[in-house]
Amino acid sequence: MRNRIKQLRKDRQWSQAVLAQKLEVSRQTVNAIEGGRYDPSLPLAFKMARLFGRRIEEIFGDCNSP
Amino acid sequence: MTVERATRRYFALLVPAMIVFIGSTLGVAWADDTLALPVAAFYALTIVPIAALLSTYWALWRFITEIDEFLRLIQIKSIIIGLIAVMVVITGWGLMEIYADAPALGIFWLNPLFWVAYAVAALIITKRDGGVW
Repeated sequence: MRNRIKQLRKDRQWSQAVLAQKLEVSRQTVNAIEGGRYDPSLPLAFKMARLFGRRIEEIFGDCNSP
Repeated sequence: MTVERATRRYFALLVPAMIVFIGSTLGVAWADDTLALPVAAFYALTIVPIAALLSTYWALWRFITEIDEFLRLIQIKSIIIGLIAVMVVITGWGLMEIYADAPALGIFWLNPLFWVAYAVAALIITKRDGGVW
């Protein structure tokens, strides 16, 4: 699944560690999500959406979607 | 809870429990070699390593519940690989015992086999997926 986490994080000038702290997960988890190696659970995806003030579908997208 | 704190809590219980397990296991073996204890006493003695063993698994269970979802996935994959290793060895060796007169393998060794396979799998998957150990 594609995501815009890295871009949204950089827009706010947050490090992975800062984002991880805000999401209450490990930095490794943020790194894996940004790298596309792990798709977060729905609760974590909602948490990210709330944190960035976006809808989930604005952050995450199907690999096949435009 | 942070992963660092969960990891500290994990090793703070796992390491002493492993030491007690190994020490008490050696103690039971020593008692068997040197003391003429009744069989019932050996049953009682095995309570110590069993309690220590349960503590190691409790430490693992607690660790898995305290870390975040991505790290939990790595641990669960590693545990499954550990269990696969145990099942493959016990089945394969069992067949060799039945049909090829292979020497009997003590089922005691399945627990160390699980931990070794789990630890190796956790290291490899963590390195591959970028988790933490």
